[in-house]
Amino acid sequence: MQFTIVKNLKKDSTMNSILKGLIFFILLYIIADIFVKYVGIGLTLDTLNISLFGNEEEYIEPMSQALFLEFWHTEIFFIMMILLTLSTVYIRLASNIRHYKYILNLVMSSAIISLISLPIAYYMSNDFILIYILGYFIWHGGAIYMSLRSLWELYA
Amino acid sequence: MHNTYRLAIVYFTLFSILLLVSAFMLFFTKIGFSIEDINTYYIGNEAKFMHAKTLSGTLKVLYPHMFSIALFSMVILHFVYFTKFNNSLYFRYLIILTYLSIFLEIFSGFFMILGISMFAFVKLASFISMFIVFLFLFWLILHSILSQKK
Repeated sequence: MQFTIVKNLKKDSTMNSILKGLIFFILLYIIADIFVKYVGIGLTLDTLNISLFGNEEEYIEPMSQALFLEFWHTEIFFIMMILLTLSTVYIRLASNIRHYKYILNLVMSSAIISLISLPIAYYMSNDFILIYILGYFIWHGGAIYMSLRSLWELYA
Repeated sequence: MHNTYRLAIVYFTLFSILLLVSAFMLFFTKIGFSIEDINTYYIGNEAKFMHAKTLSGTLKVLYPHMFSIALFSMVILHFVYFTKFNNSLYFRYLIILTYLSIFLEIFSGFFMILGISMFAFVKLASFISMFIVFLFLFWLILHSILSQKK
């Protein structure tokens, strides 16, 4: 995290290039994650319901508890690492923007809410699938904005 | 430190608590919290029709955890380093305890399938100590950030 102590990131061309590459790949990861989830477990109420609880008519087995927990555990790890890295760069570059804290809070809290609502949906009530999907899209949208804004600041 | 970094660290700590909860639930669901459960999971049990874990199956779990837990521990410990607790002697012991407990936690299953059954106890003890150490580190971070005046 050397970039957090560089005085002017825009003038330090080496660190500038390193961060452009990093943010570009974070952006790619966040966009790819939407496609991977869409194909894998689904991102609509129906598809996610079927992935978690199965469907007798279509002979689809429900997701086992162990598999679900492994999925949840991995998701938490990747999201926390991605968001920590992205937010550190974003704070360093975009702190002059009026609403930057609001965006940061929105992304982080929606990511946490979506991650909490997933096991609640699995163990308690499938109504929480909707909250998971909403939270998922809010944090993805916010994270894409944060990446693009950071890239904008690096190119400006 | 930029004030907003504190906000990002608080969120990271909340994610970390969730990660720990998911690890606890995984351990409870897949293995169980008794020595017998751990033995059954790794060595198998004919009466329960449970197969012993294979070397490749154990390595599949062990291999990604070697890097990811170390990275996670480093991030958490380095946040504690920036608090007022960084120079205390017990922080150095805490660093050793953190890395020792994660080493034993991830490798004890491997030693069990090699035939050293006493590692069932080590597995349980190291998981509990890892859990307590991380909770304590999270508390140090949150306490340090939330008690600071703006």
